Amino acid sequence: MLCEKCKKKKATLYYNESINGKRRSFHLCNDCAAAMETSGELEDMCMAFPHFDTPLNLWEDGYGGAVVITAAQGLAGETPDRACPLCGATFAEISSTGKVGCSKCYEVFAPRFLPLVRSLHGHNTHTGLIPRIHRERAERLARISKLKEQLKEAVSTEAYEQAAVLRDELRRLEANG
Amino acid sequence: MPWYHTPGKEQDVVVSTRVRLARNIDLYPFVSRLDATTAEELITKIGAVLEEGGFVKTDFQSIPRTLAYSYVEKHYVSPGFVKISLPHALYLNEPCNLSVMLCEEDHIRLQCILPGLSLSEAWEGARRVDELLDESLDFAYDKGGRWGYLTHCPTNLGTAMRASVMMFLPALTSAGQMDELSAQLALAGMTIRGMWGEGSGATGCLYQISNRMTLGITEKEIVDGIHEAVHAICEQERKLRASIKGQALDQMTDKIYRSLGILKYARTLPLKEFTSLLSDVRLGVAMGLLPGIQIHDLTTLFIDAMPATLSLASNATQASDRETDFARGVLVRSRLGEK
Repeated sequence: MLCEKCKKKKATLYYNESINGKRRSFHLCNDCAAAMETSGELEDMCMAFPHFDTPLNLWEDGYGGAVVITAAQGLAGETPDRACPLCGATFAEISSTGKVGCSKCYEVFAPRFLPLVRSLHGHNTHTGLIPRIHRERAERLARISKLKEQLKEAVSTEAYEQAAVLRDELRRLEANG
Repeated sequence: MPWYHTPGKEQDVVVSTRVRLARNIDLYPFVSRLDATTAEELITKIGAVLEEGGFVKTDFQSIPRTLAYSYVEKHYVSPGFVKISLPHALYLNEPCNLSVMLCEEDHIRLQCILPGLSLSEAWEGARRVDELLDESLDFAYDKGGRWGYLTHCPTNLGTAMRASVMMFLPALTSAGQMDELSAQLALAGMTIRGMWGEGSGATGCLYQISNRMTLGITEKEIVDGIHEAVHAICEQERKLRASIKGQALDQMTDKIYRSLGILKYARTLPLKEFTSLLSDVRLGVAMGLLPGIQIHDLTTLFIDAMPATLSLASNATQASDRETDFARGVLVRSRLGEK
């Protein structure tokens, strides 16, 4: 089966979620799964199931029953010697040394770091300082998220004039990104 | 003036406060995958910003071993920093309370160290260095915002901040309460270690309390959490000290004076014996039993009497243990009043 997201690579993971009774599922390749992790789409999922020890419990092997994947074992179906394009580190090397090769490794091996980071810190979301070059973007994303909430509220209370103002503001901010 | 020459808050129980931040430069391999040329390039790049900010470079590869170890004893660098084979450098400010290690476990390990309990001030100091570097360098940071500052070891992700307080806890130690305290701190997401950080036993009833978690918590929350825990431990330690009465107090006072007597008159002082005796005297000063001795002078003496710092002061870079013990005796007698 092909990945439902890129429709190019072979799907190696089955992702299944259920939030407040609303279900959705995807068959994904490793790269798209990693991209979804990085973009934070799965972060919401993790927060929706706080009783799970590790968010990787949400990952299932769609081709043969549920699997619990540890950081050292890696993702089902992934090429074992896949290397980081920036520093050349493989996840096997990172697991054996406990040291990450470079900042890009965190992006490349994001799904595998996710349970590890969560078990180490009990969290998966940074709430502290933001460096100068990322500050503006972070503030814009936070503003967009807040505006979306306000827009939803305005529509539900039929405050359409206010909703129009919020929508314009949202469009302006999203266009700048 | 170095941090250990001045008095600090809560110094009957707290020796010093340290806040360190780990940073890496984006698009450069982390230290374990760096080659010597790239390490030099990084040191030049980061060093230029630090020199602009008034920091002075010490090239750790070319300094004498004794000097390098004296920096460890003064807590300017970690013990591991001395053993690195890759190019690495230390940058210090004038009062030596801000230090920046380049190419230690991360590209940048910056810290502010102050006497006594000064968490907010130490955090402010570290933050100023961080801002100086952030103006000109692109730090490795999770662009999705999820894991914050990206570090060599995932245990430091997020704020990449460690706030630690060195505490003098003789009463809790002799009451056998350190294991229980350690368990309580672990539950609160904190760690307690012997004086020189990871993997070392406690020396002279000195312990370092620090945050374990760095992700999902703000820098201020880390500072506040450690502050609250340290305050509670201070109270426990003082309560125990105050509960020593009658015969037990007489015995303790006798022990303190005997320890002071040995320090004042001994011709040679091995490090272990000196550390134990000084711990007794420190307790005596903290409890008001030895008027006339300043507690921060004991901290200064403690560091000055460490092997490398002592060897440096006596120009004896290859001193034997016996010579060092003799030099320590001379130093301690000169400081505590008996020549």
